[in-house]
Amino acid sequence: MSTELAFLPASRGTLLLLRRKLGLVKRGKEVLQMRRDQLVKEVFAIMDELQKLAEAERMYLEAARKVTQLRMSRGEHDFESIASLVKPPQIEIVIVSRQGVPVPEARIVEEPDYSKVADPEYREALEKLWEAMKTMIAVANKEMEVEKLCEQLQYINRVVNSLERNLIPKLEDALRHIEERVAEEEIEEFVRIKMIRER
Amino acid sequence: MGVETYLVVRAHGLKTRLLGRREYEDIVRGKRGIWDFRDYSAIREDMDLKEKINQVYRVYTSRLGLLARIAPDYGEFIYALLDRLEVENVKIQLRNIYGRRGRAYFYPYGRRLSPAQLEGVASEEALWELVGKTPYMEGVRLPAFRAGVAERELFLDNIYYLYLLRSVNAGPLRKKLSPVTDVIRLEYLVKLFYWKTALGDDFWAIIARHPKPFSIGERSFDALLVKLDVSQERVSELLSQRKLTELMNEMTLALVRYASFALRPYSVELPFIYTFNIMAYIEAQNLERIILGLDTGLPEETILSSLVYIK
Repeated sequence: MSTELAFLPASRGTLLLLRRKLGLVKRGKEVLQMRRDQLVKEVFAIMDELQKLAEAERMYLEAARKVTQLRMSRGEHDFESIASLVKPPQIEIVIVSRQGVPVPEARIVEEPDYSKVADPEYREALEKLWEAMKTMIAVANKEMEVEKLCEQLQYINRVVNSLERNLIPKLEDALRHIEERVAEEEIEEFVRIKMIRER
Repeated sequence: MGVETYLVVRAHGLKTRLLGRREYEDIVRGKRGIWDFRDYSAIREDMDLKEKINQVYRVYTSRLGLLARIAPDYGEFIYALLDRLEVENVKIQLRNIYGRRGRAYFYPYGRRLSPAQLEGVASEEALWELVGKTPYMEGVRLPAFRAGVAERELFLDNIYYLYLLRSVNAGPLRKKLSPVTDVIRLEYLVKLFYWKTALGDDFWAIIARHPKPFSIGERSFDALLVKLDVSQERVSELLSQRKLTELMNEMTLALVRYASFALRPYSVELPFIYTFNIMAYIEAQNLERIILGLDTGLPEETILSSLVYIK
Protein backbone atom coordinates (compact mmCIF):
# COMPACT_ATOMS: atom_id res chain seq x y z
CA MET A 1 0.00 0.00 0.00
CA SER A 2 1.41 3.39 -0.93
CA THR A 3 2.38 5.77 1.87
CA GLU A 4 -0.31 8.24 0.89
CA LEU A 5 -3.02 5.60 1.14
CA ALA A 6 -1.60 4.05 4.35
CA PHE A 7 -2.19 7.20 6.37
CA LEU A 8 -5.72 7.86 5.25
CA PRO A 9 -8.10 8.24 8.17
CA ALA A 10 -10.37 5.21 8.47
CA SER A 11 -13.72 6.89 8.14
CA ARG A 12 -16.86 6.56 6.06
CA GLY A 13 -15.87 9.76 4.24
CA THR A 14 -12.54 8.22 3.22
CA LEU A 15 -14.34 5.08 2.17
CA LEU A 16 -16.67 7.04 -0.08
CA LEU A 17 -13.72 9.02 -1.47
CA LEU A 18 -11.76 5.86 -2.23
CA ARG A 19 -14.74 4.15 -3.85
CA ARG A 20 -15.25 7.20 -6.06
CA LYS A 21 -11.54 7.25 -6.92
CA LEU A 22 -11.46 3.53 -7.73
CA GLY A 23 -14.54 3.86 -9.90
CA LEU A 24 -12.92 6.75 -11.77
CA VAL A 25 -9.66 4.88 -12.27
CA LYS A 26 -11.48 1.80 -13.58
CA ARG A 27 -13.54 3.92 -15.98
CA GLY A 28 -10.33 5.64 -17.11
CA LYS A 29 -8.72 2.27 -17.70
CA GLU A 30 -11.69 1.13 -19.79
CA VAL A 31 -11.56 4.32 -21.86
CA LEU A 32 -7.84 3.83 -22.44
CA GLN A 33 -8.40 0.19 -23.41
CA MET A 34 -11.03 1.29 -25.90
CA ARG A 35 -8.61 3.88 -27.32
CA ARG A 36 -5.92 1.24 -27.48
CA ASP A 37 -8.20 -1.07 -29.46
CA GLN A 38 -9.10 1.79 -31.78
CA LEU A 39 -5.41 2.61 -32.39
CA VAL A 40 -4.56 -1.06 -32.98
CA LYS A 41 -7.35 -1.25 -35.55
CA GLU A 42 -6.00 1.89 -37.23
CA VAL A 43 -2.43 0.56 -37.23
CA PHE A 44 -3.58 -2.70 -38.82
CA ALA A 45 -5.46 -0.76 -41.47
CA ILE A 46 -2.31 1.22 -42.30
CA MET A 47 -0.17 -1.92 -42.25
CA ASP A 48 -2.15 -3.14 -45.24
CA GLU A 49 -1.16 0.01 -47.11
CA LEU A 50 2.48 -0.54 -46.09
CA GLN A 51 2.44 -3.72 -48.15
CA LYS A 52 2.96 -1.35 -51.08
CA LEU A 53 6.43 -0.52 -49.76
CA ALA A 54 8.17 -3.33 -51.64
CA GLU A 55 6.49 -2.30 -54.89
CA ALA A 56 7.31 1.37 -54.24
CA GLU A 57 10.95 0.52 -53.58
CA ARG A 58 11.11 -1.59 -56.73
CA MET A 59 9.61 1.26 -58.77
CA TYR A 60 12.03 3.74 -57.24
CA LEU A 61 15.10 1.56 -57.83
CA GLU A 62 14.06 0.96 -61.43
CA ALA A 63 13.50 4.67 -62.07
CA ALA A 64 16.77 5.60 -60.37
CA ARG A 65 18.63 2.97 -62.41
CA LYS A 66 17.13 4.40 -65.61
CA VAL A 67 18.24 7.91 -64.65
CA THR A 68 21.73 6.62 -63.75
CA GLN A 69 21.98 4.88 -67.11
CA LEU A 70 20.90 8.05 -68.86
CA ARG A 71 23.47 10.03 -66.89
CA MET A 72 26.14 7.59 -67.98
CA SER A 73 25.18 7.46 -71.65
CA ARG A 74 24.66 11.23 -72.06
CA GLY A 75 27.65 12.27 -70.00
CA GLU A 76 27.97 14.36 -66.87
CA HIS A 77 28.09 17.76 -68.62
CA ASP A 78 24.88 17.13 -70.50
CA PHE A 79 23.10 15.42 -67.62
CA GLU A 80 23.93 18.04 -65.04
CA SER A 81 22.93 20.97 -67.20
CA ILE A 82 19.71 19.31 -68.39
CA ALA A 83 18.85 18.40 -64.80
CA SER A 84 19.34 22.04 -63.82
CA LEU A 85 16.43 22.92 -66.15
CA VAL A 86 14.03 21.02 -63.94
CA LYS A 87 12.33 23.12 -61.31
CA PRO A 88 12.51 20.96 -58.22
CA PRO A 89 9.35 20.00 -56.32
CA GLN A 90 8.35 21.88 -53.19
CA ILE A 91 7.75 19.61 -50.24
CA GLU A 92 6.80 20.82 -46.79
CA ILE A 93 6.44 19.01 -43.51
CA VAL A 94 3.19 19.66 -41.68
CA ILE A 95 1.87 18.22 -38.45
CA VAL A 96 -1.50 16.52 -38.91
CA SER A 97 -3.73 14.77 -36.38
CA ARG A 98 -4.33 11.05 -36.89
CA GLN A 99 -6.74 9.63 -34.30
CA GLY A 100 -5.78 12.56 -32.13
CA VAL A 101 -2.07 11.78 -32.43
CA PRO A 102 0.14 14.50 -33.94
CA VAL A 103 1.98 13.04 -36.94
CA PRO A 104 4.52 14.85 -39.16
CA GLU A 105 3.54 14.50 -42.82
CA ALA A 106 5.49 15.37 -45.99
CA ARG A 107 3.14 17.27 -48.27
CA ILE A 108 3.84 18.05 -51.93
CA VAL A 109 3.16 21.75 -52.36
CA GLU A 110 4.40 21.98 -55.93
CA GLU A 111 5.17 19.30 -58.49
CA PRO A 112 8.50 19.48 -60.37
CA ASP A 113 8.39 21.35 -63.66
CA TYR A 114 10.02 19.61 -66.65
CA SER A 115 8.58 21.92 -69.28
CA LYS A 116 12.03 23.24 -70.22
CA VAL A 117 13.37 19.75 -70.91
CA ALA A 118 12.68 18.93 -74.54
CA ASP A 119 14.49 15.60 -74.70
CA PRO A 120 11.77 12.89 -74.54
CA GLU A 121 14.09 10.31 -72.97
CA TYR A 122 15.11 12.68 -70.16
CA ARG A 123 11.49 13.67 -69.57
CA GLU A 124 10.29 10.12 -69.39
CA ALA A 125 13.09 9.09 -67.01
CA LEU A 126 12.54 12.12 -64.77
CA GLU A 127 8.76 11.69 -64.77
CA LYS A 128 9.09 8.04 -63.78
CA LEU A 129 11.54 8.96 -61.03
CA TRP A 130 9.13 11.56 -59.67
CA GLU A 131 6.19 9.13 -59.79
CA ALA A 132 8.27 6.62 -57.85
CA MET A 133 9.36 9.35 -55.45
CA LYS A 134 5.73 10.35 -54.85
CA THR A 135 4.82 6.75 -54.00
CA MET A 136 7.83 6.60 -51.67
CA ILE A 137 6.72 9.83 -49.97
CA ALA A 138 3.20 8.42 -49.51
CA VAL A 139 4.60 5.21 -48.04
CA ALA A 140 7.01 7.17 -45.82
CA ASN A 141 4.05 9.19 -44.51
CA LYS A 142 2.22 5.97 -43.67
CA GLU A 143 5.33 4.59 -41.98
CA MET A 144 5.61 7.74 -39.90
CA GLU A 145 1.91 7.45 -39.02
CA VAL A 146 2.41 3.87 -37.86
CA GLU A 147 5.47 4.89 -35.85
CA LYS A 148 3.65 7.71 -34.06
CA LEU A 149 0.52 5.61 -33.46
CA CYS A 150 2.69 2.82 -32.06
CA GLU A 151 4.44 5.31 -29.78
CA GLN A 152 1.01 6.39 -28.56
CA LEU A 153 0.01 2.73 -28.16
CA GLN A 154 3.10 2.06 -26.08
CA TYR A 155 2.26 5.03 -23.88
CA ILE A 156 -1.37 3.89 -23.42
CA ASN A 157 -0.19 0.37 -22.65
CA ARG A 158 2.16 1.69 -19.99
CA VAL A 159 -0.66 3.71 -18.41
CA VAL A 160 -3.16 0.82 -18.58
CA ASN A 161 -0.60 -1.59 -17.10
CA SER A 162 0.24 0.87 -14.38
CA LEU A 163 -3.45 1.29 -13.55
CA GLU A 164 -4.15 -2.43 -13.77
CA ARG A 165 -1.15 -3.73 -11.84
CA ASN A 166 -0.36 -0.88 -9.53
CA LEU A 167 -2.93 1.78 -8.80
CA ILE A 168 -6.12 -0.31 -8.92
CA PRO A 169 -4.75 -3.11 -6.64
CA LYS A 170 -3.43 -0.46 -4.22
CA LEU A 171 -6.73 1.38 -4.18
CA GLU A 172 -8.58 -1.92 -3.71
CA ASP A 173 -6.20 -2.84 -0.85
CA ALA A 174 -6.65 0.54 0.78
CA LEU A 175 -10.41 0.29 0.32
CA ARG A 176 -10.50 -3.20 1.84
CA HIS A 177 -8.30 -2.05 4.73
CA ILE A 178 -10.44 0.95 5.45
CA GLU A 179 -13.64 -1.11 5.07
CA GLU A 180 -12.31 -3.54 7.66
CA ARG A 181 -11.27 -0.68 9.97
CA VAL A 182 -14.63 1.04 9.59
CA ALA A 183 -16.42 -2.30 10.19
CA GLU A 184 -14.27 -2.91 13.30
CA GLU A 185 -14.96 0.59 14.55
CA GLU A 186 -18.69 0.06 13.96
CA ILE A 187 -18.63 -3.17 15.94
CA GLU A 188 -16.64 -1.50 18.70
CA GLU A 189 -19.11 1.36 18.72
CA PHE A 190 -22.03 -1.05 18.75
CA VAL A 191 -20.50 -3.05 21.64
CA ARG A 192 -19.72 0.16 23.56
CA ILE A 193 -23.27 1.46 23.15
CA LYS A 194 -24.69 -1.93 24.15
CA MET A 195 -22.52 -2.03 27.29
CA ILE A 196 -23.54 1.52 28.26
CA ARG A 197 -27.22 0.59 27.86
CA GLU A 198 -26.81 -2.56 29.95
CA ARG A 199 -25.25 -0.53 32.79
CA MET B 1 57.25 15.49 -96.91
CA GLY B 2 54.82 18.36 -96.82
CA VAL B 3 53.21 19.78 -93.68
CA GLU B 4 49.89 18.19 -94.64
CA THR B 5 51.42 14.72 -94.89
CA TYR B 6 53.33 15.23 -91.65
CA LEU B 7 50.11 16.34 -89.98
CA VAL B 8 48.21 13.31 -91.21
CA VAL B 9 51.04 10.97 -90.22
CA ARG B 10 50.96 12.44 -86.71
CA ALA B 11 47.20 11.97 -86.66
CA HIS B 12 47.67 8.34 -87.69
CA GLY B 13 50.21 8.02 -84.88
CA LEU B 14 47.67 9.42 -82.42
CA LYS B 15 45.03 7.09 -83.83
CA THR B 16 47.13 4.08 -82.85
CA ARG B 17 46.89 5.29 -79.26
CA LEU B 18 43.10 5.35 -79.28
CA LEU B 19 41.58 2.70 -77.08
CA GLY B 20 39.72 -0.26 -78.48
CA ARG B 21 37.08 -2.66 -77.23
CA ARG B 22 39.63 -4.77 -75.32
CA GLU B 23 41.04 -1.79 -73.44
CA TYR B 24 37.55 -0.57 -72.56
CA GLU B 25 36.64 -4.05 -71.29
CA ASP B 26 39.82 -4.19 -69.19
CA ILE B 27 39.01 -0.85 -67.56
CA VAL B 28 35.39 -1.77 -66.90
CA ARG B 29 36.34 -5.19 -65.49
CA GLY B 30 38.97 -3.58 -63.25
CA LYS B 31 41.93 -5.33 -64.87
CA ARG B 32 43.47 -1.97 -65.69
CA GLY B 33 42.86 1.60 -64.61
CA ILE B 34 42.43 4.50 -67.03
CA TRP B 35 45.65 5.90 -65.58
CA ASP B 36 47.50 2.82 -66.87
CA PHE B 37 47.25 4.24 -70.38
CA ARG B 38 50.01 6.72 -71.07
CA ASP B 39 47.80 9.50 -72.41
CA TYR B 40 45.59 9.32 -69.35
CA SER B 41 48.32 8.96 -66.73
CA ALA B 42 47.38 12.37 -65.26
CA ILE B 43 44.17 10.83 -63.95
CA ARG B 44 44.45 9.55 -60.40
CA GLU B 45 42.15 7.05 -58.74
CA ASP B 46 41.42 9.40 -55.84
CA MET B 47 40.41 12.27 -58.14
CA ASP B 48 36.96 13.80 -58.01
CA LEU B 49 34.60 12.34 -60.63
CA LYS B 50 34.21 15.62 -62.51
CA GLU B 51 37.95 16.22 -62.50
CA LYS B 52 38.54 12.75 -63.93
CA ILE B 53 36.06 13.46 -66.74
CA ASN B 54 37.63 16.83 -67.43
CA GLN B 55 41.06 15.19 -67.63
CA VAL B 56 39.68 12.85 -70.30
CA TYR B 57 38.48 15.85 -72.33
CA ARG B 58 41.82 17.58 -71.76
CA VAL B 59 43.48 14.62 -73.49
CA TYR B 60 41.04 15.02 -76.40
CA THR B 61 41.66 18.77 -76.71
CA SER B 62 45.43 18.34 -76.33
CA ARG B 63 45.47 15.78 -79.16
CA LEU B 64 43.63 18.10 -81.53
CA GLY B 65 45.56 21.10 -80.20
CA LEU B 66 48.83 19.33 -80.98
CA LEU B 67 47.72 18.75 -84.57
CA ALA B 68 46.61 22.38 -84.90
CA ARG B 69 49.99 23.61 -83.69
CA ILE B 70 51.88 21.28 -86.04
CA ALA B 71 50.20 22.76 -89.09
CA PRO B 72 49.11 26.36 -88.43
CA ASP B 73 47.82 26.61 -92.02
CA TYR B 74 45.16 24.08 -91.16
CA GLY B 75 44.87 25.19 -87.57
CA GLU B 76 41.58 27.04 -88.01
CA PHE B 77 39.92 23.94 -89.44
CA ILE B 78 41.24 21.71 -86.66
CA TYR B 79 40.26 24.22 -83.97
CA ALA B 80 36.84 24.52 -85.59
CA LEU B 81 36.37 20.79 -84.95
CA LEU B 82 37.38 21.32 -81.34
CA ASP B 83 35.17 24.39 -80.96
CA ARG B 84 32.21 22.03 -80.73
CA LEU B 85 33.05 21.86 -77.00
CA GLU B 86 32.91 25.66 -76.77
CA VAL B 87 29.43 25.65 -78.27
CA GLU B 88 28.44 22.89 -75.85
CA ASN B 89 29.69 25.14 -73.04
CA VAL B 90 27.46 27.95 -74.32
CA LYS B 91 24.53 25.51 -74.21
CA ILE B 92 25.45 24.55 -70.65
CA GLN B 93 25.46 28.19 -69.54
CA LEU B 94 22.20 28.82 -71.39
CA ARG B 95 20.56 25.95 -69.50
CA ASN B 96 22.06 27.30 -66.32
CA ILE B 97 20.51 30.73 -66.95
CA TYR B 98 17.13 29.15 -67.68
CA GLY B 99 17.42 26.67 -64.86
CA ARG B 100 18.78 26.50 -61.37
CA ARG B 101 21.52 29.12 -61.83
CA GLY B 102 24.02 27.16 -59.82
CA ARG B 103 27.66 26.56 -60.58
CA ALA B 104 27.74 25.05 -64.07
CA TYR B 105 30.05 22.23 -65.06
CA PHE B 106 31.86 23.11 -68.31
CA TYR B 107 34.10 21.24 -70.70
CA PRO B 108 37.70 22.25 -70.04
CA TYR B 109 38.03 24.13 -73.29
CA GLY B 110 37.58 27.68 -74.44
CA ARG B 111 39.37 29.39 -77.28
CA ARG B 112 37.12 32.40 -77.60
CA LEU B 113 34.69 31.83 -74.77
CA SER B 114 36.43 30.44 -71.74
CA PRO B 115 34.44 28.61 -69.06
CA ALA B 116 35.32 31.45 -66.63
CA GLN B 117 33.90 34.03 -69.07
CA LEU B 118 30.73 32.04 -69.58
CA GLU B 119 30.32 31.51 -65.85
CA GLY B 120 30.23 35.27 -65.35
CA VAL B 121 27.30 35.70 -67.75
CA ALA B 122 24.09 36.21 -65.80
CA SER B 123 21.49 36.86 -68.48
CA GLU B 124 20.53 35.48 -71.86
CA GLU B 125 21.03 38.89 -73.50
CA ALA B 126 24.57 39.08 -72.16
CA LEU B 127 25.24 35.54 -73.37
CA TRP B 128 24.11 36.31 -76.93
CA GLU B 129 26.13 39.52 -76.85
CA LEU B 130 29.20 37.50 -75.93
CA VAL B 131 28.51 34.84 -78.57
CA GLY B 132 27.82 37.65 -81.06
CA LYS B 133 31.44 38.76 -80.80
CA THR B 134 32.71 35.35 -81.93
CA PRO B 135 32.95 33.98 -85.48
CA TYR B 136 30.05 31.63 -84.72
CA MET B 137 27.63 34.49 -85.33
CA GLU B 138 29.42 35.83 -88.39
CA GLY B 139 26.79 36.87 -90.89
CA VAL B 140 24.05 35.45 -88.69
CA ARG B 141 21.21 37.34 -87.06
CA LEU B 142 19.61 36.16 -83.89
CA PRO B 143 16.14 34.85 -84.78
CA ALA B 144 13.06 35.69 -82.74
CA PHE B 145 12.92 32.70 -80.44
CA ARG B 146 9.43 31.44 -79.75
CA ALA B 147 10.04 28.05 -78.20
CA GLY B 148 12.09 27.38 -75.07
CA VAL B 149 15.70 26.50 -74.40
CA ALA B 150 15.61 23.69 -76.95
CA GLU B 151 15.11 26.16 -79.82
CA ARG B 152 18.10 28.17 -78.64
CA GLU B 153 20.20 25.02 -78.44
CA LEU B 154 19.16 24.05 -81.96
CA PHE B 155 20.16 27.55 -83.08
CA LEU B 156 23.59 27.07 -81.48
CA ASP B 157 24.02 23.76 -83.32
CA ASN B 158 23.06 25.48 -86.56
CA ILE B 159 25.52 28.32 -86.14
CA TYR B 160 28.26 25.86 -85.15
CA TYR B 161 27.82 23.86 -88.36
CA LEU B 162 27.68 27.08 -90.37
CA TYR B 163 30.97 28.08 -88.76
CA LEU B 164 32.50 24.63 -89.35
CA LEU B 165 31.42 24.74 -92.97
CA ARG B 166 32.97 28.19 -93.37
CA SER B 167 36.26 26.91 -91.97
CA VAL B 168 36.14 23.93 -94.36
CA ASN B 169 35.44 26.19 -97.31
CA ALA B 170 38.01 28.81 -96.33
CA GLY B 171 40.35 29.62 -99.21
CA PRO B 172 42.83 26.92 -100.14
CA LEU B 173 41.23 24.36 -97.83
CA ARG B 174 38.07 24.23 -99.87
CA LYS B 175 39.47 21.89 -102.48
CA LYS B 176 41.33 19.69 -100.00
CA LEU B 177 38.36 19.33 -97.71
CA SER B 178 35.59 19.05 -100.27
CA PRO B 179 35.06 15.30 -99.48
CA VAL B 180 34.49 16.23 -95.82
CA THR B 181 31.58 18.52 -96.64
CA ASP B 182 29.30 15.60 -97.43
CA VAL B 183 30.17 13.88 -94.14
CA ILE B 184 29.66 17.12 -92.21
CA ARG B 185 26.23 17.34 -93.83
CA LEU B 186 25.41 13.87 -92.58
CA GLU B 187 26.76 14.71 -89.12
CA TYR B 188 24.56 17.79 -89.11
CA LEU B 189 21.56 15.73 -90.17
CA VAL B 190 22.21 13.24 -87.36
CA LYS B 191 22.14 16.19 -84.97
CA LEU B 192 18.95 17.49 -86.57
CA PHE B 193 17.43 14.04 -86.34
CA TYR B 194 17.82 14.30 -82.59
CA TRP B 195 16.15 17.73 -82.58
CA LYS B 196 13.39 16.54 -84.87
CA THR B 197 12.59 13.79 -82.35
CA ALA B 198 12.92 16.10 -79.34
CA LEU B 199 10.90 19.00 -80.75
CA GLY B 200 8.27 16.87 -82.48
CA ASP B 201 5.70 18.77 -84.54
CA ASP B 202 7.32 22.15 -83.83
CA PHE B 203 10.58 21.16 -85.49
CA TRP B 204 9.83 22.26 -89.04
CA ALA B 205 8.37 25.58 -87.97
CA ILE B 206 11.41 26.29 -85.79
CA ILE B 207 14.04 25.19 -88.27
CA ALA B 208 12.42 27.34 -90.96
CA ARG B 209 13.23 30.46 -88.92
CA HIS B 210 16.85 29.48 -88.32
CA PRO B 211 19.96 30.01 -90.44
CA LYS B 212 21.11 26.62 -91.70
CA PRO B 213 24.38 25.35 -93.16
CA PHE B 214 22.51 23.05 -95.57
CA SER B 215 19.03 23.09 -96.96
CA ILE B 216 16.95 20.31 -95.51
CA GLY B 217 13.59 18.73 -96.07
CA GLU B 218 11.64 15.69 -94.87
CA ARG B 219 13.40 13.58 -97.50
CA SER B 220 16.83 14.56 -96.13
CA PHE B 221 16.27 12.27 -93.17
CA ASP B 222 15.17 9.35 -95.34
CA ALA B 223 18.29 9.85 -97.41
CA LEU B 224 20.35 10.03 -94.22
CA LEU B 225 19.08 6.66 -93.03
CA VAL B 226 19.80 5.13 -96.44
CA LYS B 227 23.33 6.56 -96.50
CA LEU B 228 24.09 5.44 -92.97
CA ASP B 229 22.51 2.06 -93.62
CA VAL B 230 20.17 2.35 -90.67
CA SER B 231 16.80 0.76 -91.34
CA GLN B 232 13.59 2.72 -90.85
CA GLU B 233 12.20 -0.25 -88.89
CA ARG B 234 15.08 -0.09 -86.42
CA VAL B 235 14.56 3.67 -85.99
CA SER B 236 10.82 3.20 -85.43
CA GLU B 237 11.47 0.36 -82.98
CA LEU B 238 13.91 2.39 -80.88
CA LEU B 239 11.74 5.51 -80.99
CA SER B 240 8.66 3.56 -79.92
CA GLN B 241 10.67 2.32 -76.93
CA ARG B 242 11.87 5.89 -76.33
CA LYS B 243 15.47 4.72 -76.59
CA LEU B 244 16.74 7.94 -78.13
CA THR B 245 20.26 7.59 -76.68
CA GLU B 246 20.63 4.11 -78.15
CA LEU B 247 19.38 5.36 -81.50
CA MET B 248 21.81 8.29 -81.48
CA ASN B 249 24.65 5.92 -80.55
CA GLU B 250 23.76 3.65 -83.44
CA MET B 251 23.58 6.60 -85.82
CA THR B 252 26.92 7.94 -84.56
CA LEU B 253 28.53 4.55 -85.10
CA ALA B 254 27.00 4.38 -88.57
CA LEU B 255 28.33 7.88 -89.26
CA VAL B 256 31.85 6.87 -88.21
CA ARG B 257 31.62 3.85 -90.48
CA TYR B 258 30.38 6.00 -93.33
CA ALA B 259 33.05 8.65 -92.73
CA SER B 260 35.80 6.00 -92.58
CA PHE B 261 34.53 4.48 -95.80
CA ALA B 262 33.88 7.72 -97.67
CA LEU B 263 37.15 9.30 -96.59
CA ARG B 264 39.27 6.15 -97.04
CA PRO B 265 40.74 7.38 -100.38
CA TYR B 266 41.97 10.43 -98.46
CA SER B 267 43.54 8.54 -95.56
CA VAL B 268 46.86 10.33 -96.05
CA GLU B 269 45.28 13.68 -96.75
CA LEU B 270 43.67 16.43 -94.71
CA PRO B 271 40.18 14.82 -94.57
CA PHE B 272 41.65 12.16 -92.29
CA ILE B 273 41.88 14.79 -89.53
CA TYR B 274 38.10 14.98 -89.59
CA THR B 275 37.80 11.18 -89.19
CA PHE B 276 40.40 11.23 -86.43
CA ASN B 277 38.49 13.97 -84.62
CA ILE B 278 35.30 11.92 -84.57
CA MET B 279 37.21 8.89 -83.27
CA ALA B 280 39.04 10.87 -80.57
CA TYR B 281 35.79 12.55 -79.49
CA ILE B 282 34.03 9.19 -79.28
CA GLU B 283 36.89 7.85 -77.15
CA ALA B 284 36.47 10.77 -74.73
CA GLN B 285 32.73 10.11 -74.56
CA ASN B 286 33.30 6.38 -74.02
CA LEU B 287 35.76 7.01 -71.19
CA GLU B 288 33.35 9.49 -69.63
CA ARG B 289 30.66 6.79 -69.72
CA ILE B 290 33.03 4.26 -68.16
CA ILE B 291 34.03 6.66 -65.36
CA LEU B 292 30.39 7.49 -64.66
CA GLY B 293 29.25 3.88 -64.94
CA LEU B 294 31.90 2.64 -62.54
CA ASP B 295 31.28 5.52 -60.14
CA THR B 296 27.54 4.90 -60.03
CA GLY B 297 28.00 1.14 -59.68
CA LEU B 298 26.25 0.14 -62.89
CA PRO B 299 26.74 -3.47 -64.04
CA GLU B 300 29.71 -4.10 -66.34
CA GLU B 301 27.49 -5.26 -69.18
CA THR B 302 25.36 -2.11 -68.99
CA ILE B 303 28.46 0.08 -69.20
CA LEU B 304 29.96 -1.88 -72.07
CA SER B 305 26.71 -1.89 -74.03
CA SER B 306 26.54 1.91 -73.84
CA LEU B 307 29.90 2.40 -75.54
CA VAL B 308 30.49 3.15 -79.20
CA TYR B 309 33.17 0.82 -80.54
CA ILE B 310 35.16 2.15 -83.44
CA LYS B 311 38.22 -0.11 -83.27
